[in-house]
Amino acid sequence: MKKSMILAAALAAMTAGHAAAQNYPERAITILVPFAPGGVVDLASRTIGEGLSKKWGVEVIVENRAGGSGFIAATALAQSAPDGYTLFMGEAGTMTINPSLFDQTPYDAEADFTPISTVTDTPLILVANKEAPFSTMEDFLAAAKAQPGMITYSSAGVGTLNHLAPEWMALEAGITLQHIPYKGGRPAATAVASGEVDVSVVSYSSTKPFIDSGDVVVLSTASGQRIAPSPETPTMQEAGVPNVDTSQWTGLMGRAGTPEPILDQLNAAVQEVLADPAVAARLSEAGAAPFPSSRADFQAMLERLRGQFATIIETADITPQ
Amino acid sequence: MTRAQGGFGRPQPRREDAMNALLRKDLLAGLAALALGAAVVWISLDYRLGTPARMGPGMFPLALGVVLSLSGLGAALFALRSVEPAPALRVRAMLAVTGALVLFALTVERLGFIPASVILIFVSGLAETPVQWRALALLSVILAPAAYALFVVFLGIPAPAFAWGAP
Amino acid sequence: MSFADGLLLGFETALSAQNLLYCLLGVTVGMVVGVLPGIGHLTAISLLLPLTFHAPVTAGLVMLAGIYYGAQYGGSIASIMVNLPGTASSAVICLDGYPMTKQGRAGAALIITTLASFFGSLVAIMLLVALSPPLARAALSFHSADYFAMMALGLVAAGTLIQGRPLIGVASVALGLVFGIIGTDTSSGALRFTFGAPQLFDGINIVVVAMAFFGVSEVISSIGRPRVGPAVNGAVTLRSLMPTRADLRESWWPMVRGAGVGSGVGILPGAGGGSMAAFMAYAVEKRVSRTPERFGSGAVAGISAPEAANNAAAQAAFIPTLTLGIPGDAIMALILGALLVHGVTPGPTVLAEQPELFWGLAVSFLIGNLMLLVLNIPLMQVWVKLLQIPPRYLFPAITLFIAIGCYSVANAPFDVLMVAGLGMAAYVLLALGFEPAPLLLGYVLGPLIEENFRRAMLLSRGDAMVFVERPISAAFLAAAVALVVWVALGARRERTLRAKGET
Repeated sequence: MKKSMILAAALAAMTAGHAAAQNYPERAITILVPFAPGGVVDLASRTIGEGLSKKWGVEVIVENRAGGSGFIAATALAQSAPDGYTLFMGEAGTMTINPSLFDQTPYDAEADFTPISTVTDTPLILVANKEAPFSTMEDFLAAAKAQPGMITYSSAGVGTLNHLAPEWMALEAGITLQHIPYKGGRPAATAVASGEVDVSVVSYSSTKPFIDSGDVVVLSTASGQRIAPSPETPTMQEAGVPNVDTSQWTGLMGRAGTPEPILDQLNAAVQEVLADPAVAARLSEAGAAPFPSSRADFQAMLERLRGQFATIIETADITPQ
Repeated sequence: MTRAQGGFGRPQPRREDAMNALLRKDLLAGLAALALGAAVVWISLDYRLGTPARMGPGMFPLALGVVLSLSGLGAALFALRSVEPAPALRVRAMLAVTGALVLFALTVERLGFIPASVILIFVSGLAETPVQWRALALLSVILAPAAYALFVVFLGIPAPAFAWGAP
Repeated sequence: MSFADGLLLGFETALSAQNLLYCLLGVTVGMVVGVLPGIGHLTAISLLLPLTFHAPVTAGLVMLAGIYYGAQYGGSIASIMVNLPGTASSAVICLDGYPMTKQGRAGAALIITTLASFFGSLVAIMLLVALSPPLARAALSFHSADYFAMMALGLVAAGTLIQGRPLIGVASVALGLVFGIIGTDTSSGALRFTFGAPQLFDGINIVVVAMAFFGVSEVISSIGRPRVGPAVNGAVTLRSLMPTRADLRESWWPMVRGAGVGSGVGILPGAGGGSMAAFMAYAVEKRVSRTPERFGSGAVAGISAPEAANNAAAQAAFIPTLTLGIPGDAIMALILGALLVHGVTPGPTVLAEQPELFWGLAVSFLIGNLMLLVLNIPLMQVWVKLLQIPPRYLFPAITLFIAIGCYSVANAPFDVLMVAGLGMAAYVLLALGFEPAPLLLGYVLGPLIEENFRRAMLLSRGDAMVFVERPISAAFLAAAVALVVWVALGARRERTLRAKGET
């Protein structure tokens, strides 16, 4: 059993490229997930896993290897064979933030990974407590300029997107904010609702109960476009903060060096899975939307975000130590 | 333990002859806490302490280390009056059970789930005197496949039943 | 969501085939574990914790909760029949339950405890449903300083209310807190106590800690323990099952008082849940009784009040756990851990975001208790038989379960090595008198309490007065200080008494 697998792998390596791709997939595919079960990244992996399995009739194993800021799962991918049988569900942290945040990572997000397709997208919005002395983006920016460092924002932890997005905004708008870290997105959202902090950049879904109850007001969205659930809210760019465009995304990654035809085949399959209305419904329950993309677009997005986060981390002097 | 000991966990028979003034239960407990606390303090000093407004990662563990040391010291001092002897450790059981776990960890991916389970059952069974070979064999035959069915087949934990000769 | 909608959703959720199955599994396992001398309910919950990671969150919680209250029932059975309390909280039941058995009234005692359990649970369930929504709303105004103070009170209570050795209790809590902060620091991202092992970057998994302190150490210390052959006094006949009308009349008010005491104790953080509630309810009954001399020789009130109390406490303990995210005792700490693994952060928003979890759980308590009521009576003989299984046949099985359970969490052999090492340390520490339950509570609260303390100081810009200025925080901290003083005085008096007695 094992021997035949090694043999197959050797054969595949020898006849790499077209021949291997023609037979792909002929055995179980593993998707490595850098987080524990539960949450959007796990959901995205399982949704894609089930979709691929149904389409190709092979087993797709979703393997949660949580821990170490995603180092454990990412390192496992970096050490796997570039044959398309080991995949990785990437997100902002492992793929775009860690390389700049940590002095050294046991994997190289650029050299070891190759993008296949983005999978889900969860928009981020800037919200303020209802008692805060501002309820529009303009007033907020004016207040922040008037009293540098006095306005507090909550995040889901150091180096998370909710930490870097406000720092990005502050950088572009020329303001200084006080960072108050929480553990996870929900406590961060609750902190704005309770008035413990003034503002926060959080996912729309985790703040929805507080928006409905009137405890928080929405100031702007961090995405480049306005978002469907709250179309009247301006984007940060519209409100005069240039360049800011980010959201919580997940995306399927392969080992760099995987034959092109296999990557194309995977990309096409992911597009197909995401086009299923049942998949969209399932994702929207978790506050996420299907986010299909071409490999080139995904690659461009990764490069843009990596550059952006490197600048922010350096300017705001964010360190894990 | 959380289990009440009413009539169940009877006190160990005292071995008066071996009772040494230094080997009293509370004293050892206090000293253990003191040693652990000192180690925590020692390690915490490597981390940044920070200021009250911006506490570094070292402040809280340092405080914990101090509390641990002080409570250990206090317990050790009060223990000077105690008479309860040090507990007799079940060394055989301790080594058999932890050894079984270690062997499982080392073999589950190299030999497979079933062999690792059988090894664990027999090694942990060495804890009992006399060793109940027949009961252990019976347990292996029933438990190893049952556990495989529950965890690997039903719950989908990725582990091979047998993986002879894998690297 | 209105109350009626909530209940409807709850029934819909709890009556789904999957949740019913997990509920049945939970209460059955709990009952068996409660009866068996050799595995405590914390051990059982620790062992089954990894299973719940592979089930949907509601089903997993329904099962864990089922084990908890199932074990309370089971423990009482062992107390009454053979004077061996299966759980700490049922130790009180021995006092009057076993004398009833000796008088040939075991059946009546069993039925009375069953009814009292059900009644106590019912009261606490109603309290849970009624109190949680307003408490969750109130919690929205709690700040970091308040959370810190609440957790501080819980930890002080857990550490000092240990019989005999409050200082070792404090050391146990502190050690648990240290275990809890191993890994990446939330506020700074620094790595602490990881010794360079990437497997420790996210801390030690709760399953590993729970299995080490409640599984491995329990197995080691139970192996070779002198077996007490349980002598069952007389068979339970259907006839003896019927309590007399006088029994029922005598049980009513003690049950009501017991349920009240239990609910009150259950809500308090760190009060130790069931056992504390049962002891307090017993003390209350003895005080209000007109015939206190009958206690200890088979008084009906001596079993009905504590039984109602410990079950009420078991259910009421969910109130602070679910709405504030602050577990009151070690079991709730495990349940909180299970929730966190599923990505559910308990807190004020849980009710709004996970209504099916909250209402489904509440209704499953009701269904689970009904299952126990129905299961208990016909299976009485089976429980009695179970009492006679020598526990040592279980040990290789439990060890295997520990190994697989730890491995299954992250498919990491490293976790199995961890549980072996930590389990050995746990065995030695517990043999020296360290307390596993406060330690586990410390482990779960460690990162939370540090995080809230540092955040409160960050928000107040370094001014510690924030803890006294906020009324909620001030009240809880005052209670914690009062508790320490009370325990210190008590310990001193005890020593003086002992010193006098010795001379």
